[in-house]
Amino acid sequence: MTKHTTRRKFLSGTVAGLAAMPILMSASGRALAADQQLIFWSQLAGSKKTAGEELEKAFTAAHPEITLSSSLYAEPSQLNEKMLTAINGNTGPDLIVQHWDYNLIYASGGKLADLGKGLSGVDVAAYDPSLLAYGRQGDTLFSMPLYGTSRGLGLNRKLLSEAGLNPDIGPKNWAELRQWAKAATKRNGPMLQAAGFQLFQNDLEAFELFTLLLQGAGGSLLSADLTSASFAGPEGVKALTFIQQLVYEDKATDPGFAFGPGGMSNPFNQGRSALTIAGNYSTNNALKGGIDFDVLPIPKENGGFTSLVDPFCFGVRAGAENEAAAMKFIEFAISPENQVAFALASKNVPALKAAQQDAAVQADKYLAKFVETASYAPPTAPATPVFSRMMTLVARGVQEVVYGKSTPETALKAASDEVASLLLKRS
Amino acid sequence: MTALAQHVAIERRAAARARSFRSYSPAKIVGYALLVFAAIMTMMPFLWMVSTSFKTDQEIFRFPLSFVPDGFEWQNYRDALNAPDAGRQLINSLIYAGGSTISNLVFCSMAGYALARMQFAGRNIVFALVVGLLMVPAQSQIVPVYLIVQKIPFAGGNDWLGSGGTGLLNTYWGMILPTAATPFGIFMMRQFFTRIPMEYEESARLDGASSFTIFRRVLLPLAKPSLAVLGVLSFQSAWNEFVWPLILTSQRDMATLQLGLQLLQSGPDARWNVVMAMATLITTPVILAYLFAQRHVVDGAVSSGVKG
Amino acid sequence: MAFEQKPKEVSFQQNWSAYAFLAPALVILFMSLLLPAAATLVMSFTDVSFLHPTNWVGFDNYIKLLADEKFGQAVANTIHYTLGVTFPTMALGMLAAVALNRKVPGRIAFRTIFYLPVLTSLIAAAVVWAYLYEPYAGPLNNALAGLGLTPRPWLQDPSLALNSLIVMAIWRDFGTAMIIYLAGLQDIPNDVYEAARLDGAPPHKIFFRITVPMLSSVTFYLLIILIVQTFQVFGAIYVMTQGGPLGSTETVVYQMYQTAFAHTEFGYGAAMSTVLFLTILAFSLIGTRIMKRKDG
Repeated sequence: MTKHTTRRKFLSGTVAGLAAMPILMSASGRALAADQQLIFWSQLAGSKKTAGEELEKAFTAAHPEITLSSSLYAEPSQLNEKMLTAINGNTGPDLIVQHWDYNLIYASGGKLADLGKGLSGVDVAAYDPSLLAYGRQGDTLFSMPLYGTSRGLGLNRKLLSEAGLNPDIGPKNWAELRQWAKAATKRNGPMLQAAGFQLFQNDLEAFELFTLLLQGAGGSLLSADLTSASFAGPEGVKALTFIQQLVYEDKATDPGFAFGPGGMSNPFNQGRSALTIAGNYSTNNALKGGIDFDVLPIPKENGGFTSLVDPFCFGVRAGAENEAAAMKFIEFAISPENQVAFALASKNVPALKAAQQDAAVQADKYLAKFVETASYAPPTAPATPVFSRMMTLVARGVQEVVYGKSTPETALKAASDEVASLLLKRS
Repeated sequence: MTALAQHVAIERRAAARARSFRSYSPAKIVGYALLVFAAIMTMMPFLWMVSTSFKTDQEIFRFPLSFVPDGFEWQNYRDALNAPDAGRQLINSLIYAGGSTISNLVFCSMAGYALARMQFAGRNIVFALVVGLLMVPAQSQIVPVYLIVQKIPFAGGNDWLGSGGTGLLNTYWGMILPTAATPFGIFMMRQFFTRIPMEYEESARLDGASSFTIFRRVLLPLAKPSLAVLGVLSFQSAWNEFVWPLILTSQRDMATLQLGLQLLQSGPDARWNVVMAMATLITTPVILAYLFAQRHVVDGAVSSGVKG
Repeated sequence: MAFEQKPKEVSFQQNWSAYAFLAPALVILFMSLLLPAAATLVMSFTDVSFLHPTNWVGFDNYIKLLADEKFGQAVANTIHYTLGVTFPTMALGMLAAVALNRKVPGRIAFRTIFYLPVLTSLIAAAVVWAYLYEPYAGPLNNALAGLGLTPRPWLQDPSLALNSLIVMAIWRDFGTAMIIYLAGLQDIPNDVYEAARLDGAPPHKIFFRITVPMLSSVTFYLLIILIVQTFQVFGAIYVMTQGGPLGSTETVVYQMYQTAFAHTEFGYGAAMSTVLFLTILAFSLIGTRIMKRKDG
């Protein structure tokens, strides 16, 4: 009968499959940290993938004595999962590239090596102080920036021109910024067709928008010694009131406009927002979307500009088997020619000041603009291990105001109290 | 079956079909229309994924989005397949999902059988334990499971206490272990085994068959529909699993397709048409597995003789 | 032969062989679930971060949870989500299974289509659903506008976002319910239906008097599984809304993940996990009670 043959076939197939498995499995049952291997866990995926691969290839060519074994992780949070589990099992990598705030968390537990010692041959003063500020804890450098992203005012030139505005000369202060946003807003009755100002897509963007305006009003997130929160003062209230006015007085956007998983559904890339806070990572998709994209510095309240930088940094695991090779890799990656090459291939702002001004970097239209806006970032950073929680709390406060559930004063006071108690617990 | 019997069977089936077509009633037509409507709604997001995978870079940002792509941008598929590790990832995914499926089929059906059909001390406790473990949130297990996989004695350079080496990390065994037998599977097989009438088993027992023989020769064939369901559910969940391959392996040559997909959609400037092309490609093998299994879900019981 | 043996020996042999059947699965469950769960329970009484020295803190984490408003909101959201997903998913799954267990033209195509959502990659599904829900020109709001109804910001409004995610979850899950019910329907003997039909019972009576009761053990299984799975929802939240807007879609597992990995408060996260476990247990027991009462 047919059913017997099929069952026998199925069984023999299963047995053969089971028998083949150990052979396949033994092929990769190697130990994690073999001798003389530089284990490198990086986050150089997506648009940074090519740049990362070229960097690794160049390093292997220049240092044939070191066997580089690298693994890629898509998101900082995924690399973080890996790091926390591996640190715990003492099987971590020698070297990582990670978003700076995670590195500070690892450093706060003594899990990263002091780079000041390991990179004694490097002239740290040659690197952008704004980016370096994110890698220090106290006076110790635990985390060395490879590159940073910077923020500018992203423009849809077509929408602005249609509104009678000159996109070559941007708004010079907050009053003008509001006028621009209002003028560029398009509505069909109550229906928003194009937002004058796209506020944020997620918590991180909400936090960054607030931080930029806070700086523009002359404030900062934390006190200079990073021990107390300072964002709920008059500057913070002014910043959040500005956001509130954009939504409720100027009606330059709707509450929640653009909020969502981003990606394809970013309204700016669909030509539905005239202004937004852009980073160098915004360029590719804005151009693909056919946007007449441009970048200008973000105006301060009374003239002048502001920005922020967001670095991705190297860290060497404390107690790494191959610390020397890890340090060699960092030195190699932050050398002038590799800083330029990485910046050009990945469209990110290099950490080395000389590389920022390199002719090839300056010749890249958009990258040059973001290098310029990076120069408006303050030389200080909210470099505290409680950063990610502060970010969430501030973002929540901003959204409460945008959704009309709270006033700027109350929302900021609540966030500030919570941040203060977190900082207190740390010290 | 003789040729005559076959002929009769075909006749009968044809007659049945004719009957069902003849009896058009308004209720039936409305019901069928509803079914078609539900199918269209259900399929829409899937079709949208496929359609996006054929769009050009510029087209995916067009607003409002068009449902039908302007043309077929095969380059997206070429780019998705061009990743140097794609072939290796496919093999890893097949081994991982295949291994997880086979071990679930074997272990869950055995355990489910024991819990449903055998009398033994502690049966209720074991069953309560299985159902209780179902409720343990997986996200809190990440670190403990990593440590356990790392500390398996005598594996990956470990001594008998499980220290010194890397255990089953970076091996297929280690990757499969957390999902090798699931409370979901055991619970499901137990529920299905309790539904099979006792008579089948009793007659075999009277013939002196051992428990294993009864299980293998009598109950497993009767449980074919539920085995097919367990198989497709296990395969699909391992195929789409992301956390365990991420945590339990750290080498490029151990990565699965889901990890590869994550790398493609990394960052705010991901190429979504290529991501969708990759997502479409990844979905194809599971659809094939489902088509294979669903036949057994519905026809299994008939051919194994439950309905006589 | 088993028949001639003394009862005690039978039970010994039965015990032995039952344990043999259970052993492989139990060993795996012990390593992959029981031991980690025990570790999680222990961790919940510490301030473990894997970075700093660990201290015992007794019930501090649990006391802190009681006062944690955000956790309270997450629990409420999760219960709302679970109730919203579980019952419609089961009802739709059963309807689809019963409809497609007949000789409907194209039934294999239908069965495949209804199962497609769970096969679709979550990342792809998230992007597509974000577009379906798009407030300004998304297909859903266009359809509403066509019917003369007011368009709404489905994912952007804190009072609507969770319900919008519930609809997406039902879309994803009802195919699984369908295929499990389909397998269950195969075991209902045809003669039961034949007898009912000969008695002239109308189709809806057959459905409620025969199909539904005969599927009760499958329904019980599905109820428990869906409660457990939806209580632990993480991926869909992570890719769609990241808990927003205003925490309206924040669920317990999402918060637990953030607490453990983003805030490196593994002890506090473990306490959340324990509370979640007890909540799921309570809901499953309630579910069981309801099922039993119906059966009885």
